[in-house]
Amino acid sequence: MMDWLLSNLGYAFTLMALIVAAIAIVAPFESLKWWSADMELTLPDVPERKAGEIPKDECFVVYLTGIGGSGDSLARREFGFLERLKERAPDAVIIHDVFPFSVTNNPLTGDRPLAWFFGAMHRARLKAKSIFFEFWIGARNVCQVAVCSDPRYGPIYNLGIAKEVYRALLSHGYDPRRASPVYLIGYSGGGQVALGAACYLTRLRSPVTVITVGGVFSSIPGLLLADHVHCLVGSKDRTVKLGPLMFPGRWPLAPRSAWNKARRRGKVSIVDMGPMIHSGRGDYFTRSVTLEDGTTYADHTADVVAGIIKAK
Amino acid sequence: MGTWELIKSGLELRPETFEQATAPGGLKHLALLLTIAVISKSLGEVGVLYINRATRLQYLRGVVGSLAALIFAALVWSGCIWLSCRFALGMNPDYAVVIAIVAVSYTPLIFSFLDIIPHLGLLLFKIWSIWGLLITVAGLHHLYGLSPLQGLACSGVGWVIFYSLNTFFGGAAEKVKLRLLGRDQWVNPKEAAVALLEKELTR
Repeated sequence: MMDWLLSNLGYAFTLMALIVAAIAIVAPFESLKWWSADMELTLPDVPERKAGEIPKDECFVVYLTGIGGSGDSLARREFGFLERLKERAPDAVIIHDVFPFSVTNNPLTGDRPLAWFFGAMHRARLKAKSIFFEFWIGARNVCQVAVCSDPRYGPIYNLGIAKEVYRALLSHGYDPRRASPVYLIGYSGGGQVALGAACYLTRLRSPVTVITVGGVFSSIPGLLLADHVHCLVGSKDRTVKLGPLMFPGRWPLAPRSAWNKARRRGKVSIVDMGPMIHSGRGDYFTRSVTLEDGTTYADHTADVVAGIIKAK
Repeated sequence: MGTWELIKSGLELRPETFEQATAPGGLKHLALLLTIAVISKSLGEVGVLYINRATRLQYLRGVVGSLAALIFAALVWSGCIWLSCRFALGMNPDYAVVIAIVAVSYTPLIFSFLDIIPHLGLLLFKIWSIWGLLITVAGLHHLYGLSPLQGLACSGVGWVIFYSLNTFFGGAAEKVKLRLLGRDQWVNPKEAAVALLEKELTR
């Protein structure tokens, strides 16, 4: 049996590579189809709220999950982090119902041809903690991050996401006539999407701040357009290093890139989060591992994000 | 040797490729090769047509336009190589043979349907170009005994002339392509997206 498996390993990898290539080829079509159809961008009107109804320090925090997200619901550790954040910043309206890897906010198990497949993978990964089931959802979402960072498709993708974020803001009481601050928190590949959405959301009157948690992102104009970009980086997070490696705009050789310009203008702050890893036990949302002073990783991340929000 | 063998050996930069391409009957294989390359290239560019909301008929006209543009570019580029071989190296190569070498150099474009892959596609496009340049250098080496450096210099000078010409006349070619697509100008998705959003925000 083992011999048979080993002798066919090459075929299995080739098959997987072909499937991943197919996923990558079809990746831009969701946003392209949305764009080429009679796209409706009209957004609902919002009733004006009375001054007494609005908390003094009201702000809106939109959380965009990482590439492991299926759009159905967040992981428990992410909910835990958002609860901690709410405790620390009670006037913040926290929004987490935008799926960052679909321009129409359509979850992987929603109305789409491969919903059955992603649904099966999602259920299987909840039961068996196997990287095999995680892989397919991750591969699909990584391709959407690539769509977001591609100069050909990015402007369309980012418009779709900005529209969904704006729609979510409105449905959670955001009043475009007021200039309540907006914070986009993007975890992992969600950081790229947050910066992409910021390209358009910065046209609102509100100051838009982007906070990336272990963010993997390209040199995108959102870095220059956002009010400020805070990058939370764990010293043991190796995935976060893929951004400066994969995207030439983040290399020092490209001084005119958005990333290097934003760095020179002091618009980007790198926050050292201590020895946190990207995902798994010891990541930014872990409650069972503590820093030297006894603070759990999840508490520390919530403290840092709340500190950024309160500093405004 | 059929078209498939020509493609395979062309990608591997083997000498027999160029002999077959310049032999009687080679033209048929080269024409098929260019057609496959154009179809693949148009599949890779289908995203641009989506962005421009092109109809199927406009898309087909675009494919025909791409084929014409590719043949025209091959003729011009081979002319540039022929000129640089003649005047810089004092050689007298057969223009038809140079055209055949350049046509073989389009072989990597059969993979250009992969250009649609987000982010990676931009890199792949450059890889096909460099691969094509190497095939040209190999062809000049095998058929005319040019050293890799001489071949690279001839192709490089040809490349520079070609791109200079493209800078002067590229606008006209673009206009023809747009006319085939039934458009006045390409849609800039970023500008269109901002215009839509601003219209909504000022509503």
